[in-house]
Amino acid sequence: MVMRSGMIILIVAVVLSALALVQVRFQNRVAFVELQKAIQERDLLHNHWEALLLEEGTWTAPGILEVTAQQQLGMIFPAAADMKTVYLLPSLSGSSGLP
Amino acid sequence: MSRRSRQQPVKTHPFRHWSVALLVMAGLGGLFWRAAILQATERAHLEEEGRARFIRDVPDLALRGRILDRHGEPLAMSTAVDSVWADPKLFCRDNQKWGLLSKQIGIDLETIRSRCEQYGGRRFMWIRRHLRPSQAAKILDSNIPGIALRREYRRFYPSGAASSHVLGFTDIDEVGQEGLEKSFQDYLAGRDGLKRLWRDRSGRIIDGMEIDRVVHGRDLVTTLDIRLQSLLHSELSRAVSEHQASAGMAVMLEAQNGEVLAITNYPKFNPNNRAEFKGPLLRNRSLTDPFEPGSTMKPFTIAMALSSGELTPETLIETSPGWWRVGNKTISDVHDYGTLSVSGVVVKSSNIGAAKIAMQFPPEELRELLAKIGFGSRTGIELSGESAGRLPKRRQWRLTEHATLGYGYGFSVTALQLAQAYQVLANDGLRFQPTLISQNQNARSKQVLSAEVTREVRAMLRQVVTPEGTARRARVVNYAVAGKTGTTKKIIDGQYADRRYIASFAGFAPANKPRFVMVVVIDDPKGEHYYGGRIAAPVFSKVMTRALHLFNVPPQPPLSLQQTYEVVDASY
Repeated sequence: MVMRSGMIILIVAVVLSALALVQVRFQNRVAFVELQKAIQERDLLHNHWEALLLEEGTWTAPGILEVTAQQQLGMIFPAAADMKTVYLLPSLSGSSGLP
Repeated sequence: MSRRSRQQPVKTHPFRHWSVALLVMAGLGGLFWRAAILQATERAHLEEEGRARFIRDVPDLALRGRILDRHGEPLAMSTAVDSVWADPKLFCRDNQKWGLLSKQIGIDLETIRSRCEQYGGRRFMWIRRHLRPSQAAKILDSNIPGIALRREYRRFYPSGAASSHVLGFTDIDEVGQEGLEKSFQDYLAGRDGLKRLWRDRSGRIIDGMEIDRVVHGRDLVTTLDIRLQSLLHSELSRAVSEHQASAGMAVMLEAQNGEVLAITNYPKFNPNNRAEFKGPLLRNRSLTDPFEPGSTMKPFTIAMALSSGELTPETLIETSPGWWRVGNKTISDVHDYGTLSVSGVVVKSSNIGAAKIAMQFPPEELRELLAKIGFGSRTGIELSGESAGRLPKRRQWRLTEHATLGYGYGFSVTALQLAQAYQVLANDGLRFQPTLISQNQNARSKQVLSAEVTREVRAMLRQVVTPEGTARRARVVNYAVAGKTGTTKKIIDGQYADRRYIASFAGFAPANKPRFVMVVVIDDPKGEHYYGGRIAAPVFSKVMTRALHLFNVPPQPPLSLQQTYEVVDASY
C-alpha cells in the first residue's frame, strides 16, 4: 500500500515536472527574444551615442574652433599690449598665487 | 442474400493473408532498416544538416575602446559601419541587378565583373566595406539576390593629423598597426564573444545561449592634451612651411612627472584617410629620427662642471679670438666674445667656452652624465619604433672628439630624449620616464643631478631668453622662460653638408617653477633664416603662451613689484 501511494506520488511529480519544464523552456524563449531586442536597442543607442560624440569631437576640434572663431565670429587672440595682468602677490594672497 | 452469406462465408485462400502480412512486415522492416541505417551511419551528417538550418553561431563583436586625452576628450573612437557582401553563387549569375548596385554604392560594373570572376566558386565576397548604416540600409531595401550586410566598426580620429603619429591607426579589421593603437592593442580590442541562436523557418530568433561572453575593449586615458596637441601641430606646421624645411618635430612634457602633453611631427598624415598612409609620412620623427643636438647640449656640459665643484657660474673662460685650434680642428664662435663667465658661455652659446670647460674634465665624466640623463638609451615611452640615439663609448678619446662632445657634436639624440633631459633640469635633477599614460604606476624617477646645480643652470638658461641672449624670440609675456637654442650642421652621407642645418630650441616655463618642458626641432630649413633662435624659438613662445593660459599658471610679477612687496624668492 505504501509502495503504491509512493509510486503514484512519483508519477504525478514526474508529470508535473515535465509540464513545468515545457513551461520554463517557453518562458526562456520569450525572455531570450526580449533580451535580444533589448541588446539590439542598446547597440543602436550606443551607435547613436558614439556618432554624436564623434560629431561633437569633430566640431570642437581645436583647429575648427580656431577657424570658426577667427573667420565667422571675427575673434582674435589679444596681443600683449591689449592684456592687463592683475598679480596676486604671494605676500598678499598666500603662497599659492591663486585664490 | 444476407442469410446465405452468413451461412456460407466467402472462402479465401490462405496465401492472400500471408502475402498481405508479409508485405506489411517487409514495409515495416524496410522502414526500421532505413531508420537503423540512418541512425547508425548518417547520424552525424544529418544532425549537422538540421543544425545548419536552424542553429547559427553568431559572433558578438567586441567594441574597441576609445583613446581619450587627459580631460576625457576623444582622440580615437569607433563608430558602427555596415559592409556589403555578396554570395557569388546567387549574386553573380544575375547581372541585371549589377547596375542598380553599382549606382547605389558607387562602384563600377567592371570591378563587379572581375570580382565575380575571381570569387565565382565561393560563397562569400566583399562588395564594399564601411558604409554609413543609413546608406547601407538602402541597398538592403532594394532586395538584390545574394547581397547582405555585415556590421563592422571603423575608427575615427576627431583630432585628425595633429595627433596621428602618437595615436597611430588600425587596419580595416581594427587591429592596431602603429602608435598607441598598436602598443595597447589587447587593452583596447577586448575579445569577441560567441552566441548560438535557434531560428524558426522565417528566420526569427526563438532561442539562444551565450557560448562565450563578449569582453568589450577598455578606454585608454592618455596624458595628451588635445588643445596643446593641435596648437603645437599647427604652429610647427606653419614654421616648417614658412621656412621651407623638410621636417619638424616637437615634444611637450609636464615638468614635474614627465607626462607627455603633446608629440607632433611634420610631414603629417590624416589618420581618417587611408590613401595617405605612406611610409615617410607615418614616421613619428620625435622618437625615430635622432640628430646631433649641438648647443642645446651645452647646459649639461656646464652642469657636469658645476657638479664637480671646481667651477662656479662666475668662473671666467677665455674665448678670444673667436676661434680655437684643437688637434686638427678649428672650433669657432659666431663672434669674438672675449672673456666670458660660465653663465656667459651658455647665454652667448660659445662653442669655444663649452669645449674648454669640457676639456678640463676627463671625457668619460661628461659621457657618463649624458648617459645618466638618458641619452643613448630608449626612454621607454609606450610607443614602438623608438630610437636610442647614439652615444659612443670610446676607449680612446681623440682631442677633437672630446672637445666636440662639450658642445653637442659626435652623438645624436631624439627630440623626446632632449625633452626628457630638459625635464631633468626643470625638475631639480629628478629624471622621469616620459609616459603617455595617466597615473602610470610604473613611472620611476631617479636623481641624476643635484637640485643646487640644476637651479644654477636654470638661472643661466633664463638669461638666454632675454634681449642679450640668443633666444629672445622664445619669451612669453608675463612669464619667465628658460631655454637654449641649437643650430647644427646636418650630416648627409656621413659628412657635414654645406648650408644644411637643423634648428632647435629646448626650454621650459615658468623659469622659477617650471610646469612645461618643450622641444622644437626644424629640420633642413631652406629659407633665409636657419638659426634655432630665429625659427624654432617662436614656435615655443606661441605654444607656451597659450599653454600657460590654458592651465591657469599664475603669471610672474615683474621685478619692480616683487621688490615693492619684498617677496623673497631666490629663484625669481
